[in-house]
Amino acid sequence: MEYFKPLILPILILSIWIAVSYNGIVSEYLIPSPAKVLSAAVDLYKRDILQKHIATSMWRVITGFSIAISIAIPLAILLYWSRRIEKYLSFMLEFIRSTPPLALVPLLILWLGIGEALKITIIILATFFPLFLNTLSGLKNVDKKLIEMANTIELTKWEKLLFVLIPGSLPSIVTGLRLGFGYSWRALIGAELIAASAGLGYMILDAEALAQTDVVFVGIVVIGTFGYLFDLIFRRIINYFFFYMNIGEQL
Amino acid sequence: MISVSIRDLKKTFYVKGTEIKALNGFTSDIENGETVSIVGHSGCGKTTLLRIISGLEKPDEGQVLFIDENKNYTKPKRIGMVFQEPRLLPWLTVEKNIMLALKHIEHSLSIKEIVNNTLKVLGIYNFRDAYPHQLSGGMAQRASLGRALCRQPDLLLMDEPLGSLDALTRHRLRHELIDILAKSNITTILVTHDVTEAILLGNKIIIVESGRIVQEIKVPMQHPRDENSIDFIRIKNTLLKYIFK
Ligand SMILES: Nc1ncnc2c1ncn2[C@@H]1O[C@H](COP(=O)(O)OP(=O)(O)O)[C@@H](O)[C@H]1O
Ligand SMILES: [Mg+2]
Repeated sequence: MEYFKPLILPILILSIWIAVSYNGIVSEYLIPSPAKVLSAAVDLYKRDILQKHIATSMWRVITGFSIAISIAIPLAILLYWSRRIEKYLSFMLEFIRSTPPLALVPLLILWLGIGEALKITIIILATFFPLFLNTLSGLKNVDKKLIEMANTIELTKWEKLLFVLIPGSLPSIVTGLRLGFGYSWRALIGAELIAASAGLGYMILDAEALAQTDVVFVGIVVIGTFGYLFDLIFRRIINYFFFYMNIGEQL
Repeated sequence: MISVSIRDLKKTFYVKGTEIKALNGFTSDIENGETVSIVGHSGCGKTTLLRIISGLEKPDEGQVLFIDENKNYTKPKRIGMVFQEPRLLPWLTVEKNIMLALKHIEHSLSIKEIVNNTLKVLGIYNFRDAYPHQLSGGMAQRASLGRALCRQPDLLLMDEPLGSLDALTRHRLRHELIDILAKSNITTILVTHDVTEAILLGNKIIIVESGRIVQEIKVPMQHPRDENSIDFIRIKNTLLKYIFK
């Protein structure tokens, strides 16, 4: 029964959807029937259009995400090591953090044009902070007692990083990855709605312009499903780490 | 081998405006190869003393000097520190935890051999692939002792190493520790709140109160010591008199 609880609402919505669309209460144009959406999906799939858009969006997210990781995590480590730098950066970081990446889009279009650089920059901006802040707080919360122990066995700075700090902050880092991925997925679709010629966001916008509501629905379902699947994967990883950290914590 | 000269240590902590004098002029000399037990009520500054000697904490005043066989000032080559809790890294096995302590140690034996010997001496060889959470408190503290001892320290500092163990485990490990220390000849400072343990292990017992020494008592007895011998009981009574005066 527990497994079914989350499914009750979707099934209910689907039933209402079917009922509404077959009774002709609402026009096909506003709410196409599930069958129509499904056939649109199959059609897009057969013509390789759906795969192309998914691949484009995915490529952007993975590229932006990788760049964000390779900036945010080293920077968090650097700041952890040098608390003095943190004081200088604190205001600037807070300021940028409070600015939604999409608010920067007009400026970014001006600077970067509407090519790939724009989309990837938006993803980096969206992903950077959850990753950076979670890594930093993870590092700061590593058990001080373990760090002291590492000092008494004379580990070097890098050995402490590798054997104590990184493993100790892994749950936090993975939480940051999860949040970052969620943010970047949402920001990407936003960016593709504003300026793109491919990608899931573009597919929705294009279909809306051509009055293909069924394709819009396909896009929404695909975006939601991928977002959910990624989140599920990250949650699994986090559960694993927290499990293994908590039992370690008892010592 | 190393002797330690502790000179007039002072350390004050401030907690919400009130000052706590953890150490208030602590002075003592610990001879080369000697095992010194430090006893005193909770909060008298024992842990702070060990943390300053090990370099984890800086004193406000005073100093800790290390002296080698030739009476020259020196630095300990290696300090072995055993905390009250095992402080094992939860993500490494027992064997890896101990190996990590040997990262920068040069030795004629291979690291593998040293670790295996250590594991065998402490009776945890069969647990070498276990993770800390899979160990009992006694096993984990053995691993933590192993981590300190495998470094072949010239100074061993132990902060109530058996304090969190149940009575039976404690009794066993206490006698194993006596064996190890008697064989090794390492200069050792043992903090304990157990008077019997202090006398069983120490050549000298330092009684601390409010961050300074109130009394030093020599224990001129051979190992193994009999807890029920007249000498032992006499020393114990003297010790208790000072602690509960
Ligand atoms: N980091 C610290 N901050 C504030 N007070 C401390 C700190 N460390 C120790 N103290 C205080 O100093 C006193 C001595 O502590 P400690 O050396 O741990 O005593 P013991 O080990 O003998 O029980 C205690 O009153 C303790 O509360
Ligand atoms: Mg203490």
